[in-house]
Amino acid sequence: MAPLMPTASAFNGSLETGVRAVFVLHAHFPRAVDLNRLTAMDYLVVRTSVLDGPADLHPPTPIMSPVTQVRRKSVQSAVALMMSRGLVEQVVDESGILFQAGDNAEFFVTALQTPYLRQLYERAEWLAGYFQDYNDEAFDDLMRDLLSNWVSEFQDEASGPT
Amino acid sequence: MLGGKGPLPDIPQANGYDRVLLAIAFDDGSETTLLRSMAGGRFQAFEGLHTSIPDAEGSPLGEIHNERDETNLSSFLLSKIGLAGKRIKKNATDETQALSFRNIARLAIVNEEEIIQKRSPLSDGNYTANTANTSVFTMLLTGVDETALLSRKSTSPEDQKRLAQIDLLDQLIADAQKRITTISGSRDELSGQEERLTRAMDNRAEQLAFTEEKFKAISSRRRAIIQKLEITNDRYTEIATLLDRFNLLRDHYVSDYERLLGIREAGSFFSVLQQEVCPTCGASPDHHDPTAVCHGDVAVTVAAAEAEMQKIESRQSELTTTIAALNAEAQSIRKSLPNMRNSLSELSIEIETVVSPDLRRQRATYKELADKGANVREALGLFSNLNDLTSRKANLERQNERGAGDATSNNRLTNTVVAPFAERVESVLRQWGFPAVEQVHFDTTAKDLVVSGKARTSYGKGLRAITQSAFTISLMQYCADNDLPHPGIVVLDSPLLSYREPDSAEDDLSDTNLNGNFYRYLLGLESDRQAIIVENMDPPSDVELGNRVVHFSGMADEGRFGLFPL
Repeated sequence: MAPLMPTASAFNGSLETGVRAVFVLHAHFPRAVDLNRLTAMDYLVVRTSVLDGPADLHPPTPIMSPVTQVRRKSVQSAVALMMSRGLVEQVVDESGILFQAGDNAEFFVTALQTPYLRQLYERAEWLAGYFQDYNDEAFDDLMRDLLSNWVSEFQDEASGPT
Repeated sequence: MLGGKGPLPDIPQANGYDRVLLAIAFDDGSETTLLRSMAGGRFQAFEGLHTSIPDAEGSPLGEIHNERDETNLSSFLLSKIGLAGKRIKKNATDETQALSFRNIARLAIVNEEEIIQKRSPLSDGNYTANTANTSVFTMLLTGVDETALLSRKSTSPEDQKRLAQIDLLDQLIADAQKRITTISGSRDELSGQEERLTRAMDNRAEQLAFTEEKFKAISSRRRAIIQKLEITNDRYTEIATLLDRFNLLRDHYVSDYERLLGIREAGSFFSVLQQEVCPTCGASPDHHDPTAVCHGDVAVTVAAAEAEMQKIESRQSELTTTIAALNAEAQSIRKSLPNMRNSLSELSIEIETVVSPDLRRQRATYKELADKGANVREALGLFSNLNDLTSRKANLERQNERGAGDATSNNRLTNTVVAPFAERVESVLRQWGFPAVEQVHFDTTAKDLVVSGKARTSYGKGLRAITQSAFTISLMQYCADNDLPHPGIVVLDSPLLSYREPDSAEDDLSDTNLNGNFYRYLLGLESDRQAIIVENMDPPSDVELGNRVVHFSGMADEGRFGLFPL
């Protein structure tokens, strides 16, 4: 077996991040969301308590900083990986590049049965319901209110090299 | 009224009175009434006995003795008792002075302070008057005065200087004696007391050291427990913090494990899905570059997840062991804390209620003893100071005697002169039932009585008053019986007040009762002698005093109110 490479890290690697993206997009279907919003969702789906939702899927970390959880770059490559198996579709229209659940998403999401992934499923559903009526602007406002430095960290991450 | 100097005590009962009458019947059958202002000054004498101020003009009498002009009270009274014109010795150099009635009066009239004084009955407390006072006493006992003495004035300047020094020493000695009278106990008693105090202090010091040692030991034990308690509390807090963190870590392990299970499952399903043309790089599945980002290394990720799961499993078991150990330690601390707190509070209580008060008390007692010791040493210092002064004075006197060539006049107060008088005192004391009288003699050096081998001044206050009274009364009896001059009266203020019968006397018959015997003895005085007793206590009921007793009731409507009848 080849030595484990950093990119292949199990936690928050392309596979795990991608699975989260598929669950979130599946719950939003048929709605499509841009990378910005998808990255925020990647964080919120395991921290639903900040929206007064279900208990956080992950235990609290002693150093609580959103930047450790928010990784636009990894979301981007994870989404690319998911697209290669038809789990995510890319939609291009006048508002830019959006992402939507792919054809295989339904089978994939229902097939996964480990307790963790079932909880992830429930939270993705809850999150989709929560944001049903939020347009991008309202969503950004909320994120700014929730995590004042989250956006700036997010911007730094976005402007970094790919 | 016998020529004393005022002022009289300022008491409210005296308000409204301005003159005093004193009626005297003399042995020669003559009667005189003296009148004097309450403010003092000259007297007026009237023939006969009067109870109110006579209309006639009396003959004036000066209040100060004057041997050249005989119209003064002292000369008048002295002539009545046959002592007119007598001279007494004034000092060591045989100078003489005219006898005044005042010199006699103080041997017949004893007030309530003098009656318990710790000094010779001859002395009036003024050391420089001792020679004159002794001379008066000698004259009364012998009937011979000092007219025969010729002054032997010191001539040499050295002698005069020494005399001046002696005078000064006399004053210092008088001062020291006065201060010594305020001390209770003789020199030997004080020495004994000092020794006892030193022993007691040594004893207390040992006890104190022991208690202090105990206090130190128990305090350091308490300190040690406090320290241990602090350390244990710190450790307990530390454990609580660690447990919080480790429990969080355990949550992470559980959550991570669950996540890894999810990743493995997602990975296996992911591999099942048919790979399409890569939307990122456009390569067909067969030609896809496995190192490209879009390839995702899913198989590697799954393998990594499995490796992670194994690691977490082993870490989890380590963590569980650690948490269990910490929990056990925390529990044992929780168990031991009450014990430590208990022993701490027990020690604190012991310190506060037993050891500390003990220590305080013992320190106070020790200080008290030390203070007392200082007082006793001071008193002993007075004695040795007095000794020193007396021996210096004796030295000077010896030198003067040597220098003067001829000896000073012999002391006429010899044992032969005083022996019959002392016998008289002894007989009086025996008749009074004075406790354990063996023999009484008069010490011509101390110029005081020695009763049963013990100096009169060494007796307690009560017996001092009795012996002073015996001295005064015996002197009158002795003079009268031997046809020697004496005023023929005694006035005693509170001779019995301080005296308490010994307990054993209660069982005895009433005729051994000293109080009763005292009054019975006075009842038997011959008609040419008179005793006036001023006493606070009623005379015993078994003595038939009849109307000789004037009771001062202190009540306006019952009998006589007081010395001033209201």
